[in-house]
Amino acid sequence: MSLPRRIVKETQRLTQEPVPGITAIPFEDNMRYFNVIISGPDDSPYEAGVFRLELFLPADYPMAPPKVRFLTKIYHPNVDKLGRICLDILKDKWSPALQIRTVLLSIQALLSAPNPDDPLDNGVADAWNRDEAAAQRTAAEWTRMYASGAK
Amino acid sequence: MRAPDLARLCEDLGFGAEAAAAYGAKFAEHGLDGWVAAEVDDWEDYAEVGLSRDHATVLCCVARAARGRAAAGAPAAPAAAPALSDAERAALAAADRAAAETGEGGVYGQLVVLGYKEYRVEGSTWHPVGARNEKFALARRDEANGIRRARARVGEPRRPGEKRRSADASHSVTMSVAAGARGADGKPVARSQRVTVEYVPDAREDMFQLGRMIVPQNDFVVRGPLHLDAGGVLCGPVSRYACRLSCGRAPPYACRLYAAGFNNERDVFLSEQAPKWQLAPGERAADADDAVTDPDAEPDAAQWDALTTFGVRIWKPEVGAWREVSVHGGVHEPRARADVAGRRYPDEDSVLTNGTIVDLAGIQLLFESAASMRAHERAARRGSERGIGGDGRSPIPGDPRADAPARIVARFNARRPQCPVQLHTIRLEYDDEKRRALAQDRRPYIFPACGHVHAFAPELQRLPCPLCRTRGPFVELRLEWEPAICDEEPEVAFNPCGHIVSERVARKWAGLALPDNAPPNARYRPICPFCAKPLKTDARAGDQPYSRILFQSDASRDDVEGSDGDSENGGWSTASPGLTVQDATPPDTAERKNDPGDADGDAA
Repeated sequence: MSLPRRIVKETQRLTQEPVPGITAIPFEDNMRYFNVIISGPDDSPYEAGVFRLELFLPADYPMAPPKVRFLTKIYHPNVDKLGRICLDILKDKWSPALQIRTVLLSIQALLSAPNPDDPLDNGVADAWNRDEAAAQRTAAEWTRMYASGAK
Repeated sequence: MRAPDLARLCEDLGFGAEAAAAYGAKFAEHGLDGWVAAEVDDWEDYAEVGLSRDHATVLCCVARAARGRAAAGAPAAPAAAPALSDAERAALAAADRAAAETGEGGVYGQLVVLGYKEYRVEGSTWHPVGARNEKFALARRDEANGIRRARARVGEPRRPGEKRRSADASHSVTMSVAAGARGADGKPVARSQRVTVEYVPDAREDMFQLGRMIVPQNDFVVRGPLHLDAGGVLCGPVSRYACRLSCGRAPPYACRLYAAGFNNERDVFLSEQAPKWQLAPGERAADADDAVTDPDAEPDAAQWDALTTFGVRIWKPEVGAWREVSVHGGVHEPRARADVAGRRYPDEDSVLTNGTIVDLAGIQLLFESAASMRAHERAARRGSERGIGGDGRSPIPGDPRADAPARIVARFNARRPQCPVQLHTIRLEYDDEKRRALAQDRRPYIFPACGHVHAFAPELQRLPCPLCRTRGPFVELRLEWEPAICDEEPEVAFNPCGHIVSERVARKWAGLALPDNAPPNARYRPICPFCAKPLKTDARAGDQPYSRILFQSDASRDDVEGSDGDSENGGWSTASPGLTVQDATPPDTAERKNDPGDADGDAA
C-alpha cells in the first residue's frame, strides 16, 4: 500500500524544517514508524536529557491519532513504566487537523508542565503531590541516569 | 362536453338518476362543463365539487379519454375591447416599437423560485423535483391578453343552462355567497346569492397565470409540495390556479399580483372554504380603480372580495412585512383563521417591485425587475470592470474580461486554500464538468456551523470539525450564481446547507422569515434562497444562520505579500485553528512557510 500524501508531506516538512529540540525520522522499511528524540526542556527536571520515543501512524491516520511511547525511562506523573503517555490529544481529544509535529510539541510541553492531577503513574503522581521539589529531584536524577544521551 | 352531456354520462356510467341530476346541477352551478372535459387530471378535482370518490374516479378516466375531442369545445374568444384613448394607443405603439428595437419592455421581469417548484413529501421530508431556482420570464406577448374589470353584479344562484356572463365579457370571477357569509356590516348575509365580476379584454396589459395544474392556462406551473393521499392521488396546498399577474405593456410596465387564476372557462371559481366578504359601503376593490364602468355607480351589494383557500402572500421590500393578496388585488394582513381575511391595507398595492417575494402556500418566488435583469445582463456581457452592484455593493474584483463566477473562482483558487487535514490544495470550480473532473478530495467542503473549509474526506462526515470541534453537517462548498439572489463576492456560507453569498445578502435572508405552509398554519422561518432549506437559528443551541468562510490560516502568505494580504484576500477569511493543544504549542501558522513547492507539491 502506498503512503498517503499527507504522511509524505508531514515527513518532508519534519526533515526540512525541524522543530528545535525535536527530531523525528521514519524507518526506511516502514515509513509509518518514526524514531523520535525530544530534548528535555530548559528549566525543567528533564533539562539536558535526551529522550527517545517511538511514534507509529496507524492505518487510519490522520483520522485516528498516532501511537506514541517513551523508550527512554522517565520519571513523570503522566508517563507510566512502559513509556505510555497520558495526553488527551492522543486519545479522545485527537483531531485530524493535528500533526506529528503538534503531537511532539505537546509532549515536549508536557515535560515542562507535568500534570499530576491526571496521572498515569499513581506512584509518581503521589510523590509529585506530596513533595514536588523532591519529585523533581528524582526526575532530574533519572534524567542523568537514563537520558544522558549515551545509547 | 357540456353540463347536460356530463349529466347524461353520469347516468350512462350507472351512477343512478338521482346522483346524475345532483351532479348535473353542480357542473352547471360551478361552470365546470368545459373544465371537466378539458382539464381535470385527478379525481380529487371532481371530489372538490362534491362528487363521491368512486364516481369521481370513473368520471376522471372517461374525461381523460374524451379530452382530445372535448378540448376543442373550449369557449371562443369573445368580446369587444373598450376603445382606448389616442394617448393610450400612442403609448402602446411606442412601447411596441421600443420592445422591437431596443428590447426595452420586452421582458417585464422574472420570477425566480426559491428552492424548487415541486417536492415529493414523504413524512416530514421534502424531496426536490426538477432544477433549483427555476425562472419564469414575464415576456411581452405577441398579442395582449390582459383584462380589465368591467362591472360587478349580484344575482340569484345560477340555473343550469344559464349563460355565465354578458356577451362583451371575456372573463369572470364568480362567487357563490352562501347564506351566513360575512356582509358589509360584519353580519351574516340573509340569503344565498351569486356575485359576478366581469372583465373585458385590455390591450394595455399582458396576463400570466401560475398554479399547480399542468394546463395551458398556467403559464408557469408551480406544483409545490405534493403527497399521496390515502387513495394514492397526488395533492398539495398550491392551488390549481393559484395566482395571476397583470403586466402593463407600456411604461412603467407595472406587474400587479392577484390571487386565483382563470380556468378553461375563463372563470375564477372560489371554493366553499375560501373566505369571502362584502366591502364596506363606499369601499371599492383594488381592481375597480381602472374599471370600464364607474364603480361608484355599481350597487354596494355587488362589492365583494375573497381570498383563495390556500392564499397568496406577498413580501415587498418597501413594506418589510408579509401581506395577503385578494382575488381583486387587495392587500391584507395575513389571515389568522382559515375562513376570515385579515384587515385591509388600503394604501398598499400588489405591484411587484424588485426583490418582492410571492408566496404560494409555502413555495416562494423572488421577483427581479426588468431593470435589475438588464443590469446583470450588461455586467455579464462586458464583464464590467466596476463590478455589478452599484449603490454601496461591493464589486467583484478580478479580470474584467471574465464573467463574475469565473472571477470569484479565480480569486478563491489564487489563495491556494489548504486542507488542514490532507495538507493539499483545495480547488473550487463553478463549471459542473470541471468540478466533476476534480477528485472529490480536492473539492472544498465546509462545516457551515463554524465556517471551516476542508477537502472532502468520508470520515469527516461523521466527525466534528477538526479545527474547532463544532458538529457537522459537512457539505460541499459550491458557488451558485444567481444574480437575482446575490451578485456580490461570497464571504459567508448558510448553515446548514453551505450555499455561499456575501454577508450583506446573508444578513438579509437570515432576517427574513418565510412561511412554510398556507395560512393560517404557516410557520415563518428564514431559509436559504438557493435551496429553501430552513436556516439554523436556535440561539440557545449556539446556532448561527450563516458563518464566515474560514480557511486554515495562511498568515504566512500575508507576511510574504506584506500589506497586499488583506485586499488580496477580499472577503475570504483566514482562521487560526481554534484548537488548544497545550499551552506551549505554537499555533500552526507560525510553522508553515510560504512554500510554493509545498502548496502544489502533490500535483505531480
